[in-house]
Amino acid sequence: MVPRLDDEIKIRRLTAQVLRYAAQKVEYADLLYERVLRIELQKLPDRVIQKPFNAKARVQLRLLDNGKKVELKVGTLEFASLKQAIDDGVKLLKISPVPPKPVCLAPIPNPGKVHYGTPAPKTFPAHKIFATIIDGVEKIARQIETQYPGMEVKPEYWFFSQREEKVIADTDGIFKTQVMPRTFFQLLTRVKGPEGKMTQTRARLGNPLPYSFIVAPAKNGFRLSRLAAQHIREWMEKTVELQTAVSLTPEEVNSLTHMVLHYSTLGVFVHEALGHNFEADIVKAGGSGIIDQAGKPKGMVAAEDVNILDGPLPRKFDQGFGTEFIDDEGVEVQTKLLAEHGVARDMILNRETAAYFGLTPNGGAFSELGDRRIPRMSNTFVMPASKRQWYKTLEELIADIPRGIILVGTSGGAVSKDGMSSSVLIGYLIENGKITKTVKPSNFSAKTLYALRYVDGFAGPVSIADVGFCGKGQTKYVGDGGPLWTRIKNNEFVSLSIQG
Amino acid sequence: MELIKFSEKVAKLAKKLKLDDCELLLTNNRVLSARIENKEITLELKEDIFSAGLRVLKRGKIGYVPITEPNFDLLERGIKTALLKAAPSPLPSFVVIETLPPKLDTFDGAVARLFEAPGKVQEIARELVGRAYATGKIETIEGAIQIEIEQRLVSTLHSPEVAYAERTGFSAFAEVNSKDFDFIAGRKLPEIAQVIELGATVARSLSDQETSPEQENMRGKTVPVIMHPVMLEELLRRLVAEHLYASTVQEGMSRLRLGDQVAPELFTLWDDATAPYDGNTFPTDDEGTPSRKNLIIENGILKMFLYDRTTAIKDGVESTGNGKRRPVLIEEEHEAPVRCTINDIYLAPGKQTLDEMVKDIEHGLLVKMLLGFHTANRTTGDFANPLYIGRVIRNGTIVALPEPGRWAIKGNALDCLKTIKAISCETKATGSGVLPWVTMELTVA
Repeated sequence: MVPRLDDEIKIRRLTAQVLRYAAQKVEYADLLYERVLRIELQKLPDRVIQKPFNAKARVQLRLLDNGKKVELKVGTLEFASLKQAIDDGVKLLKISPVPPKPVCLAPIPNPGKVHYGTPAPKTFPAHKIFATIIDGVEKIARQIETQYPGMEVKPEYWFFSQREEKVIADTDGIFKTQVMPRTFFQLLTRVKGPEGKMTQTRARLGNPLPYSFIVAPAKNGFRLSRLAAQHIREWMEKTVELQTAVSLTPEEVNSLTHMVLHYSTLGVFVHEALGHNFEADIVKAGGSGIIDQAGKPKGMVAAEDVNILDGPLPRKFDQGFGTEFIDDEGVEVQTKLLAEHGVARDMILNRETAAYFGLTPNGGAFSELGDRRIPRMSNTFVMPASKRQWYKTLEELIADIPRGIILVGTSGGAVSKDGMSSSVLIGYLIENGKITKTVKPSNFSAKTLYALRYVDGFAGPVSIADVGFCGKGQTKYVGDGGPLWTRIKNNEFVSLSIQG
Repeated sequence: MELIKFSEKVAKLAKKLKLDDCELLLTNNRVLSARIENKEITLELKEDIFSAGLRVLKRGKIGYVPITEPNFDLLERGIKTALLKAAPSPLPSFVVIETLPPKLDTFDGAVARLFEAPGKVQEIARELVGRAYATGKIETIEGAIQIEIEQRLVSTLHSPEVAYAERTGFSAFAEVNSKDFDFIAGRKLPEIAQVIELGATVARSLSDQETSPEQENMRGKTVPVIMHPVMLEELLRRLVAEHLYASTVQEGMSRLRLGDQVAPELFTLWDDATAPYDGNTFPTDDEGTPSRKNLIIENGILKMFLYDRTTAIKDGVESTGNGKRRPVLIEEEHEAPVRCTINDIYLAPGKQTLDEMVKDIEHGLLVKMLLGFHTANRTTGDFANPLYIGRVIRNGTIVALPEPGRWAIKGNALDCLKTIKAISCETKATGSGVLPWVTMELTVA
């Protein structure tokens, strides 16, 4: 059953009134209304903050006239505010220059379908959920301290679970709604060793699911879900492990034959190194290293066995932190094939860039509450293009590596036109096919066009469970990933600098 | 939206709900921007962007209520929900705001008047683009001219005074060929002649030469680095400040101790929320503690830690006016937790000119931006990031750009402060402080 907004009739009436007013002034107008009801728990070093009620809402209005465009962010969905914004917008339109190529929007495919989404809670047993998380994390931290005497384990975390609602309407009669849940948990573990040495890791879980993804029902209330408990324990143990981690000199890094990336490291790498370069506004501005300003792909961006995709996993709308059914322009979100057999192919489009390049929109337009809608990634991932070098286990994948490194986790990344950077939380040295030492956190960087050309093997199933918040001037929930493990031959276009 | 009236209504609601105390941060913004994408300029307006962040106290319990709509039904529901089984409060009450600093300079009528003449904003953007292209060196240019008026209010239930200010903002930004950028940011209207030259100045400063660490034989070596004020602020705000917060000290995780020589004698650092027309200038912090200037490091010696009220109560001292709503990750200001947060950062300028500092370097780098610095390790202060924007210096002259994707810099924020050799007499206003260029030592990774 696709959920609906409780006040859909009222909102429909109001948006129609606003758009009727806009239609008297401009050729085309559309609006996006988004609201979020969230519960939130933050554990900081010295305090716990419980927010059982956080309500946010904003409106984005877009006016088009004579090939010109104005975008307006408005605080509230009230006729008076929106009417004022339209009047102000019309004044701005009048003084705006006509852009080199007049702005137009590609039509919304499937305009008649109205309702999208999955069931999302309207109310939350917030304090029970909070108590379960506080007790659960604390208990695991103390267990780890017992297991590793002399270590002080100091967890910080942030949990939220929310109901998201959005409405897209325009002067052509489009009216679409989406309702869905989203839940997030981030653990920052800091460990102080017996001699005062400090280490830190960050781990995340996030999905378009209700809170039961993190806090599951139990006999007498709730307990941490098995997935959450396992994840928390694993990363606390890794933070302890970092206390005895080694660093590698640049010469030692140069001598590595391979790097093996966990999906959590590969995901942010693909997002930063390649993903942004497929966003059509970046392409249009000449900022893509992969597709030229005319929209023509520059060719090979990865090894032949690599496909790069963006979107939900086919037919799986319950996975991937960036998953949505429709984008913020009302276009159904497609899984886009960005690169096929290593060759660049599709772009991530909003309606404006789709029209600009003469393409059909593919559901890539997103905004942060009320901001302008621009092409954004949702879940970006590597999918092996064949089964040729796809192994079942990590052991098989590293068996023939004389000297390599396994890289796990990320604390985020960043992109420039020609390069990217991502921070790796922990490494493991491979010597003669076996893991021998734990390696300190590092930074992985690469030249965009060459980043994935040296991929020569995979292991394990594809996961898009890595969780991120992508910047680009406004924040967007994203997922990323790939096969559990991806092997890359060391090469001159990839560099790794190990802390310490 | 009249924030003072809104706060009076909140006070009535607080009394109706029999709250013991209530603390309120209200903001309402209007922003006009002209976005530059090569030769295309697009106008964007944000209106009535209202936010409210409340902390409420009742019977020793504390509740947090963030909302974005000035809707009292919603607010009442929020307060009731927040107090249901709320946690014990570390604060017995909120501040009583009695005396405020003399009126601070936060509002420039010249910026405000631009809202009545949006064509002028667009004209500035167009002029900036035109001058940049006239250099003949533009492949791509991205940027924006932005003006803002913000109303901001901090109040508590039992205060006779309300901290309120209208603050204007002006910023201009231009990034050229994805290789370098420059900006102007503040609350006052700058010289327009300076704004329209931004893109052209950056374009002219771009060398045609690019070089790699191998060509420079720098890989793995510790070299002299001139840190640009933008990067220096990142280093201080993201990593060093973490060790200045009383919360980190109380937890036993700070690497710094009062009275320690943490930097050379030429290094004097303070934070301030009272300086004219700066980013954080406001009569109080977000808890209502009067704003002030804090001398943190004097002649290289650590003089004080930074306190909000929660940490101050623990140590039995006064808050230093550093209780600010600082996001953990992606929260908006009104929903972020109040915690120890450095205000605008000021570093005392030195005696050498930037030119002299460059001339003193035989073989080194100028670092303006490291890519992905937000991922650096705040617990240890360690970082290892690609060099995104910078210059290579040979024999006292800037000779080339770093080849993209080939350079990375690593170091430790607290350790590298001790290696500072020179501080420039020139400074740059970053919008959240005023800092000079400094020469320090870092390793090419």
